[in-house]
Amino acid sequence: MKYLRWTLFCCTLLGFSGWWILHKPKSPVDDLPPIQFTSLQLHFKQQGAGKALAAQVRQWPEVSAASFNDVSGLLVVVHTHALPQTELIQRVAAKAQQKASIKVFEASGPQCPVPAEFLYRLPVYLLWFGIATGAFTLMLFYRLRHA
Amino acid sequence: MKRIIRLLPALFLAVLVVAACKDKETMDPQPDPTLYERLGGINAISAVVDQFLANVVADNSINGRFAATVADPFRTQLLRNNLIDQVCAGSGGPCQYKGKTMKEAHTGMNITDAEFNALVGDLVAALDQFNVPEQEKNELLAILGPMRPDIVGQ
Ligand code: HEM
Repeated sequence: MKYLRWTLFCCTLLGFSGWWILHKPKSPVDDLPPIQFTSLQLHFKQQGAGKALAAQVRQWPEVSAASFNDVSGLLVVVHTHALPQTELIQRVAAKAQQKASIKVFEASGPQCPVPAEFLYRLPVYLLWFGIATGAFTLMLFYRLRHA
Repeated sequence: MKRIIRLLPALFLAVLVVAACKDKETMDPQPDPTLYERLGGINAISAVVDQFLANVVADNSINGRFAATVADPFRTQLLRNNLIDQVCAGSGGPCQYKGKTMKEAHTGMNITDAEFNALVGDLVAALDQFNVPEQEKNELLAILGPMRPDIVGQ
């Protein structure tokens, strides 16, 4: 029991100090709505048609940016989650009067096996770990005192 | 009542001090607006960064470099947030850049001058699209330009 108490206490310290070292200051960026990128492959015969479409897409309230590149034929739309990708594709296809297929980007070469999201959220996970083990430690100390 | 009367001189003094400070405030010349303010704050910067990244992802002379980033929505969001923080902090805004140093972020990529120029071209296109005035555009490019040695050929 004694060992468990001290192990939990060390875990609490580890959790809180890990959070303290790794946590990042808040930024005004955190208040911006999260975005998503959708890249669509399109084919236009008419010069300038793709850019005109991008200009129209940019006017949609859920869209923060849209770019069409004549060389690649890619329409890249930056949009909030209020506009789901499937709906975006349907809307673009209707406007462009053609099938819009998603351009899938694939990572090549060695990649970090730990997901970026996990690394980003690690300080918060450590904080919760510290709180949980801290609560258990307090409970054990309290129980032993009153046993 | 006596207590209130005793407090009156202190209250009078406090009013005088506040008034004097206010006077000084109005007499001080307004500081020049920062580049951050002239660009239009966080919303304007995020709009430019989003357009810049959309240009980059559509640009097949460099988008291969960002394939792994675009394949992971979380990494894309992170890169976007880091770029906004970087421009915001560099232009005197209330943000703190929390990402890697430019050297750390681009080491092992062997980025060429041509790729760097292509990316800057995509940024200039985004700034032009939002009609950012020449002065602000040049100031922003002057902040990013010195990063070239840490990015190219690393
Ligand atoms: C002035 C020019 C540039 C600036 C200001 C810049 C800025 C940044 C920033 C802030 C990051 C994120 C760092 C982090 O994850 O902590 C980053 C990552 C990256 N940059 Fe750049 N960069 C520039 C030029 C370039 C160029 C020319 C290329 C290639 C063509 C490039 C490719 C990348 C890639 C692939 C990443 C990794 C993205 C990820 O983590 O998923 N950058 N850059």
